[in-house]
Amino acid sequence: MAIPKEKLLEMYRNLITARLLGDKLAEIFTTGVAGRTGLHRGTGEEAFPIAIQANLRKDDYLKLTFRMDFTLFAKGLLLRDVIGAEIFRDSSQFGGPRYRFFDPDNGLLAHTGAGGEEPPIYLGAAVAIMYKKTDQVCVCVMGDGFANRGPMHEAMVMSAAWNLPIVWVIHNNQYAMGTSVKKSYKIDDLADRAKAYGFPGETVDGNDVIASYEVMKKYIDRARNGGGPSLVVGETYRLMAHFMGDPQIYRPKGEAEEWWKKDSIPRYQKTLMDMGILTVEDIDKFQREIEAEIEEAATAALALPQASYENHLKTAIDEI
Amino acid sequence: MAETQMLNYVSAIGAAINEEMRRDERVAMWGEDLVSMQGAYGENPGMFKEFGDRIKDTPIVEQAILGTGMGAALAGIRPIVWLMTAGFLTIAFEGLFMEVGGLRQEYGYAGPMPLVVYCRSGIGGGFGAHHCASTESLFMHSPGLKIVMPSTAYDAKGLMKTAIRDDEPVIYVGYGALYFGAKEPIPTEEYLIPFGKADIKREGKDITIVCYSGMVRKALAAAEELNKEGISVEVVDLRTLVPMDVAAIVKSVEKTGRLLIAHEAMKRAGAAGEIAFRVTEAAPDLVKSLKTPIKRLAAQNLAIPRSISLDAQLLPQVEDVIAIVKTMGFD
Repeated sequence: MAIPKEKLLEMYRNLITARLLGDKLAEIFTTGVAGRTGLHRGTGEEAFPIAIQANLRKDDYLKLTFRMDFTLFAKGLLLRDVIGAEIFRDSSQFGGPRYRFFDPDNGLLAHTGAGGEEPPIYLGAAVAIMYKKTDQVCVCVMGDGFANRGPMHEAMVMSAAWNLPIVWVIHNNQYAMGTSVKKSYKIDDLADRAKAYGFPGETVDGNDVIASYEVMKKYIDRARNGGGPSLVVGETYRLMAHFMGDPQIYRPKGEAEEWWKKDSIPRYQKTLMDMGILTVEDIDKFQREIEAEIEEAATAALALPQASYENHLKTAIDEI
Repeated sequence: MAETQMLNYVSAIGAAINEEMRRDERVAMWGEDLVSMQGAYGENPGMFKEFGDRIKDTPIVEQAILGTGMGAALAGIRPIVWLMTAGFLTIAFEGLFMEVGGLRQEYGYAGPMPLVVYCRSGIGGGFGAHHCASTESLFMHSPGLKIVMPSTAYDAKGLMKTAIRDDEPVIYVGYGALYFGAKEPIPTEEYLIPFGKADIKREGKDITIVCYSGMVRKALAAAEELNKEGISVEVVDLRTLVPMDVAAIVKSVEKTGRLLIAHEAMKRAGAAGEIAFRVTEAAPDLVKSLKTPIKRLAAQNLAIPRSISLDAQLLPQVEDVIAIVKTMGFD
């Protein structure tokens, strides 16, 4: 079934927003107003999370990799609150997430400080969906690094045993900090792992918006309709350093340049232009509109309150 | 006189879970062998039929059992997850200590996360540390975990009901050796026992023994013996370690002038050290005026041996309580 034009354009706008927002965040971090350094930039990997979120509702549960959290505007968060969460602002009193994207009412159950502990927690949301008999789904995206950790294995085992409404996703950007995926995996296709758990697995070009959308749609619809878990692997590449300031001594010369040639944006622009639903004028117009939106959101984000210690104290369960 | 029914410890816990599952359809329970073995946790086979899929077996995946409990609790379910033993809690340690116990606080989230992590300690029988160890002091050090350790069937029921209704995460540790012990009269009318309220299990005037879980029974037996020798022992059962009823301890010690703290967990960094310091902070003048310094009785700093003939030597017994009390200024 053809993807509606509105959906294709929505993904285009989100893709451009993600690219420009990534640049804006880098600028905010560089100037020091963030109060934080070492941004983990996700420029070049935006297409896959954008395509995932194009299949989700605001009440679905979603964990992205920490690097790609800034694309959560595509799930319905305000741009202001996304920027705010990246710089420790707390927008919960305005209906947004707490610092660093904790918002259980909107399907965000946070990142654990030790990455890779999230799969059981997100699987719990799928258990809740089973008990509440709603048609929500849970999508849990792990990087190729954390996907090797034990909690992911246990959670995948249990998801299969209980046939839970969750799509496991590996966002394979080829590097876990400085370690190449080739050093950690003895399989070429990471989706092969699904077979051992007894559910389907499929790998897709994560820099291809339409292919990613279609594959994710297949498995998200399947989970929503009681078909149970699955594993999708999105192949992309970490064009940026692990964090801003990382000298990247592990990266072979020329590797990034080769991947820049596969960048999602020019490919998607060409596809949409070939389909006759995007013009050169549209591209310029969208760019200008989005730049203005981001500027406005960034100003608003910097005005958001800092996380409060008063709130922190409210969480105490005995004397402090 | 209110109506009662005779229940042992495990049936009292089962009755609490039954009642709460009937009362609130958001309550669900999962863990290893709960359904397959019908009784990993209780003598209530009827409930497996009554509640259907609301009680479920899991594969052997402790990290996933614990984590799903947390996630489901953040998503509108009120889970009881069965982790079998207090030793097995360490298999899911990261999830329990850092995520269940800390993640809400890391994000300043005071909203509900109603999770009961249920297990047993004190099973005995030469099964070794994983099955018999008392691990509560590990989790007392986590910032956001309530810890419940009942010593009687009556308390076990009332505290389980409170745990299920609590909006914050609770570790509920039953005491294995009591599970199939003597039946007690339990009111048929509903009751709940609040957290942070110690219970005086025996009144006395010469010495306060603060204890909880399986140690209460031993302290009471010792008190009976000591009474014959003219030493009047007051037994304070904390019932919950977090939150801790320090005021009740202070009140008792104001009367007796002596404080012994006893538990089955290992002595080093055990709860007794914390209890003594909490009392000292709350009532420094009282501690200065004690008839004799505070003492503690605990398991030796050794792993529990995998030999039935050695368990008892490591853990404090009734005669150890008697012996240590006698060293506390009764010459």
